[in-house]
Amino acid sequence: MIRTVFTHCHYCVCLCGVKVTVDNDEVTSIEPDRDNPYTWSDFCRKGKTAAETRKHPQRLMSPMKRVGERYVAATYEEAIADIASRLKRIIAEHGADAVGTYHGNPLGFSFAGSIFFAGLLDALGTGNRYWVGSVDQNNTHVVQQAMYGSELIAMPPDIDECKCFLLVGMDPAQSKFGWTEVVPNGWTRVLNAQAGGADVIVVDPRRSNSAERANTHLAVLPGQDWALLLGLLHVTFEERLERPATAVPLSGVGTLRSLALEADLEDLSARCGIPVPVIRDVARRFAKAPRAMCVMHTGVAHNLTGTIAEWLGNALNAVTDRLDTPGGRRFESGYMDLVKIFAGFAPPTTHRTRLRNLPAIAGFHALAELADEIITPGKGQIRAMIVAAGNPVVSGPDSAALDQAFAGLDLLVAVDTVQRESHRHAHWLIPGTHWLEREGLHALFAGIMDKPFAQYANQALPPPAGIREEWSFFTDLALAMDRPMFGKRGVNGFIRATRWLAHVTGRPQLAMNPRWVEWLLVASGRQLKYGDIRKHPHGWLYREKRYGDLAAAIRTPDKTVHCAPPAFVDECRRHLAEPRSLANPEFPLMMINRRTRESMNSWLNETPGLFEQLRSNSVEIHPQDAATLQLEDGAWTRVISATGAIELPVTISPGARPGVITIAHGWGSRIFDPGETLKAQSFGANRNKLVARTLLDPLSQTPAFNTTRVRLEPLHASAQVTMHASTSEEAAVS
Amino acid sequence: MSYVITGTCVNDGACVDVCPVDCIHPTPAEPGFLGADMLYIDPDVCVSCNACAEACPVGAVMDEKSLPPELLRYRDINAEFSRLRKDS
Repeated sequence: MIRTVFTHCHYCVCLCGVKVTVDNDEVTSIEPDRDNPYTWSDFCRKGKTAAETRKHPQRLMSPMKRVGERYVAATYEEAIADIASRLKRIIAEHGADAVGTYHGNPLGFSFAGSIFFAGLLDALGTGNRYWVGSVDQNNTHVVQQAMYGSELIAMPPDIDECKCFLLVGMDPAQSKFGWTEVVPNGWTRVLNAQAGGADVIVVDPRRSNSAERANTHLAVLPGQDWALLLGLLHVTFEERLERPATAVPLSGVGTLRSLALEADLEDLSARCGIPVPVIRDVARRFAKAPRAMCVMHTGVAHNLTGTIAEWLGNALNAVTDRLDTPGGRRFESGYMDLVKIFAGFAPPTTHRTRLRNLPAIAGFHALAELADEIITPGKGQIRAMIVAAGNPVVSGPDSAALDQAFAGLDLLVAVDTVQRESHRHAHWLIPGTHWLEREGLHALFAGIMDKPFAQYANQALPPPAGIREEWSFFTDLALAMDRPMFGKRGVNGFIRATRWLAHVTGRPQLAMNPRWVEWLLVASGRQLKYGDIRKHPHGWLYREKRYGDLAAAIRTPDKTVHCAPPAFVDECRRHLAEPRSLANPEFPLMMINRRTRESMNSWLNETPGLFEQLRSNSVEIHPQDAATLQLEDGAWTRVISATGAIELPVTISPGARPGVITIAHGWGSRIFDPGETLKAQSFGANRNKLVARTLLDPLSQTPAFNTTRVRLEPLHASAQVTMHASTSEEAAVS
Repeated sequence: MSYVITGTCVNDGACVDVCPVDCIHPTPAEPGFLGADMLYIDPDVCVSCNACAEACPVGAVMDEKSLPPELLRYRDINAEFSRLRKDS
């Protein structure tokens, strides 16, 4: 029987509406759902090939237990009983903080998985929670908290009304404008606005696809966006180009003005590599445009100055009246007050890390700290880890250190669809589900969409026989440990009672499940009915976008937008006082990152239908640097930093400025076969091995993924062959 | 809005591999590929994702909006081929 299922892709925040054709228990095609009123236009091969990813040849089909150097299949009951008893023993002997957790990006795309994982963490009572957001989006949360009073106040760009786009550290031709906000068809809408006369200014050390289409491309020096943005503020204040804020009251503008005017424009220009007349010109174009926005993405976040740059960009928007005004950064209130709900139910944790005494950001500690928290003995040392839909060894800095730390754990439980690089030392492998196999409403996305939109994702196929959804495993584990799910007494009894009721009535929907949470959240907003959302299989634009909700949502004590938070001002002054250019003869090149549309971090690079032409990352290098090093296109080179070394082929491209090399992240992650019938498989090399775990933005705790100093050493042909062979012949379990 | 293949196309089919919606024809698997002057994008199906433009080794694919006047006719050539293909 052939069925058509409407859902949305869950790989990236484009959330493309898709039409899935299912013949019995096989997906025969995935196409963009052109009847979706909002989100199909960014459809790409990640979504098209989703069924291949689901049918990965090494997919985990049952829990697998490590026995010596092998894995053997086990039942969920065996897995849960063993994991529960080991975790209980570790907590009894060493305290709850001895259990660490990490979750990756794919879990964030499962509402049920995210909420019930949080419920499990509260049940465990551990403060040692780590997440993938700490390697990219932390700076936005720190800035949102300081300026707007909540880590969850996002402001999607109001593209269609905008007349001047200042896009910093982003490549929307690849990312489609998605990162921490949902902006479907974003780049095409920017190009449409440009065709209607809008000004597009792209700031990026690389001449990206986006930069090629810009009216102006500013090839800023890596990590120096803050100096450029401070320069733009300097000119804005000096030439009296500010506009009074019409949507929200501001505070701290005086301090910001002094800081910006005290900074010497020539010095800022030298720091960021953009000439003074260009800074002046861009500042005027931005401030004088009737409607404008400054947007910053990971290119900014992945630096030691990511937080102050994010702040200065937000401040530029504030003092030119681009906050919650047409064409600026609009606040979308969604269909419920998420900020208020989280403030009430999940008060910010006060837990600090044992060794570096750092606070949590958005509820989680920084991945950069994890290795040391595992290997350093003492009270509170992490002895067990639960890793859910995550690959922290590849996503985080200094991969070798974390891999080594994981090898020494008493217990490592990995929940995922396959055994990835980070799960190499796992004691238990628990199968995960693919989004084609799940359903639900992702209520947390409501406040990050650029238009009021809701879509219930329908299930295309059930998970393979015997595989439980992640939320169910997390709940079962908490019950087996006899620790209260969500950290609230009585919840376990309630769950057991509903399960009993479901069992005796033969109606599984009576057992507590994620739909109940979704329903409660929607009902709490008193704007939409859950049933009405489900009646729109293609998704629902439930009202017109509106302005003016930000003023009421701000949670700073004085209800103003804080334009000069003291910690940011101090950090900015510290950078201004530092000498300008630190020449480094040992590591003369700067490594930056880039986005590739078909990649989703370390997740999809082995999918057969993706990367048909070239399945690897490479070292993208400027022709001038290639000539100096006598490197030819395609030649292999060793890339060496103070932290590690990798080997990759070279692509000569005038993309980045001389002195800057580009290597995409997410590659070089092995997929193991716990059944040992196939060799481990990986493509490209993991460039995060080169990034230090100790050198962090002090405010966001984010490593310098975009400003890591390296040198290149050409490899001889014979060395290349040996090296290449050894990576592909790694044993399944080493 | 759509992407458009222009006359410098060398029929290597790189764009066909990366197109998420299979809107480029004839594909190497279809009759007519061997004798085709160039490949064509069906504007009704294209989602303007830019993947073909990135993959093209000779820069023959362009966004409709950025076609210079002398290449504008290729917009109609792509559309006309696609219409005839669907009609046949």
